[in-house]
Amino acid sequence: MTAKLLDAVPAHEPPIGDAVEDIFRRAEAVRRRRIRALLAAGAFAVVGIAATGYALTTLLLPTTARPAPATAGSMSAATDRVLEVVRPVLRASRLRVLAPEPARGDSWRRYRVLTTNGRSRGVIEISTYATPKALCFPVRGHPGVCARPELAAGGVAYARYADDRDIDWQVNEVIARFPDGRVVAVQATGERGTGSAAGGRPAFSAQTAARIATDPRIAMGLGDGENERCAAADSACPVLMVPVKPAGG
Amino acid sequence: MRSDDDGALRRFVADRFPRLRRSAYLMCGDWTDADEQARAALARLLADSHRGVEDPDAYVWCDLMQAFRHGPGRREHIFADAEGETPETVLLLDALHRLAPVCRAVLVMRHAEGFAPDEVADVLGIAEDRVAAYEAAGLRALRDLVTAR
Repeated sequence: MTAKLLDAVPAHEPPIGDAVEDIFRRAEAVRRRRIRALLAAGAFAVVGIAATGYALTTLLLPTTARPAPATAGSMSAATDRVLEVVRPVLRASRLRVLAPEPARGDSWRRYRVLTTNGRSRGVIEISTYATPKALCFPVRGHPGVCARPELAAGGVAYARYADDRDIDWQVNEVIARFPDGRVVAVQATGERGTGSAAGGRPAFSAQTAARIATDPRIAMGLGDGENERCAAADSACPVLMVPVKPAGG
Repeated sequence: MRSDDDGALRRFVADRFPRLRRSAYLMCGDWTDADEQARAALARLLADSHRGVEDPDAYVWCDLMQAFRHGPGRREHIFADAEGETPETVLLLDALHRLAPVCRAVLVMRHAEGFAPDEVADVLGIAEDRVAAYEAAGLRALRDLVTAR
């Protein structure tokens, strides 16, 4: 029967044709496919290593190289709510704010002010303070005397100050107190070290500063005061010509 | 066998292809499928020949039988479309395909191709005594199936 098995098959076996050439062509295709698979695996490994390295770097770097909070902030200008208020107010005075390098802290901002031609006109500093129970708006040259504040919309009390006695440190300043107790100070300082009264004049008036200081979005943009640092001595906070002092302080 | 001797490779392929295709036909009962499997096995041998293949016969038959190991198992119907085959051949093929694939592989390699039991054991990856057992069982079943008709 095994002989039958051997004999049975070849009787109607199809011709071989070009099978040998076809087998060699297939072998070449198999080799090329293997080379491609090898190269793809190599490329995949390289991409995988690069992606892993990138992921590890982005995960680990922020914990080892976090910048100090009082210097350059990590928030972009696009998300700076304080800048969103300042920019249109100063644009009306044909001024612009240099946003890329604002100095900032949890409770304060400092931006450079430029003319539309790009000439520096000093800085604007905005700071917020923890809510004192009562606030005395100081009167320059009369310690212990409190000024009668002006009232803006929303019941915001504010006082304006202008000081040009020192031609190298001329300021227009506003201190505003909101009904909920939050205090905001806005100080426009002219270009320092010019040696001339005209060159060191602040870029905008105390009235313009008041429009910024009394805008409730400023206080909201600087937070609720929980991270406020400027009431305590902190070299990074803006130095105000007229400091904010609680009543009796 | 190495890929640098193109003439030897061509002679090997030309000589083994018909035998390999017959083995494949006995395994699957279809000339088209058998032709495809035989070409694929020889192509893989050539692709690997640059690394040096110690026993090319063992390589290609092992490759071929691996392809059928996971294929269809026992057939339950007769070769109605085995065009041109004699009724006796059809009955024999049908009986062969009623066996388990490993049993069929042992019979094909031992009785159609003339491999020694130890070579069959190496190719199929089973013990030599199992080859003898499968062969005896396969022949007995084949005899019963053919005489029963």
